[in-house]
Amino acid sequence: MGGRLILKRETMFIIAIILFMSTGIFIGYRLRNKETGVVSHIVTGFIWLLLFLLGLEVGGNEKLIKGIYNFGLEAFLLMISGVIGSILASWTLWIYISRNNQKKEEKE
Amino acid sequence: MKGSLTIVGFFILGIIVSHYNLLPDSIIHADISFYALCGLMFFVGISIGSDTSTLKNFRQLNVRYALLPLMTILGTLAGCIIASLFLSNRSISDCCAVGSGLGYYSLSSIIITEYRGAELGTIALLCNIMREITALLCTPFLVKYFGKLAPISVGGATTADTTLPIITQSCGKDIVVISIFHGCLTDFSVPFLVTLFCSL
Repeated sequence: MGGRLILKRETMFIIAIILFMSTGIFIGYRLRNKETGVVSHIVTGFIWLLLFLLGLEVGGNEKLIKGIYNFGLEAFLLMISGVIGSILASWTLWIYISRNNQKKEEKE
Repeated sequence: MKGSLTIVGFFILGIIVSHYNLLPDSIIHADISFYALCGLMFFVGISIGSDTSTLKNFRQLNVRYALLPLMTILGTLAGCIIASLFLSNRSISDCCAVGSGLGYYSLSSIIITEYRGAELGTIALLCNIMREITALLCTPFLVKYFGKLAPISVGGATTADTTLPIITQSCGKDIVVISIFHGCLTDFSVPFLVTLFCSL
């Protein structure tokens, strides 16, 4: 039951985000001949706010702070192995695509 | 690099502020982060829409880039299987469940807590927060040595929202579409993968 509830909320969440972004793209397209340099500063500001809020969540969670002492190393090992695995996998794809592009250019 | 350090600075500032109760509880429990994320996506949308070259790049995109989400998932799982050899008290399915959060810490930790208890849920939360921070910090380094796809793969399920702006800055706007496509697809696959490995 719980799982299904979470899924429903997550779906709403993703739909809301996609809607906000599509609206932004539409407005951005209408503004494309105007100066929009200030937008990148606003984006940076929002990222700062989000990471600050993430920090608030982590710092206020006693279980999590204690968890860092107990399971921090385990979590780190799992994170770093997952990250290295995905780097190697994406690097393979990157090399494969780059080589194919080169071949195409040589033909032309 | 300076940009990523500022970001981590704000993260640490947040930890300190809430650890010493410097803000009233009502602020912490409000859904501000959801609204902030909506605001972020709106302005990221504007910056994509106002860039005339994005649409052109979209047409020239190589179909093979569509394989990237699959590479991310397979690479992460392979890494977690290897890590499970070193963690004698955790099963392979436990490690894969934690890893398949792909940086989506909120959702994956909730599902894992429900199926496997608070201990593995906490590990999932820690592991996936660390993944997001790693993606934020290492993007410039990853682009330099492992190509433009590496930061997207490391960012996992966060590449359509929180790590998108950094990826855009480091990889260029032609990569934006791949990043969003990758983020949406991995985002949707997280609940299924985590539930799958929890039930094994």
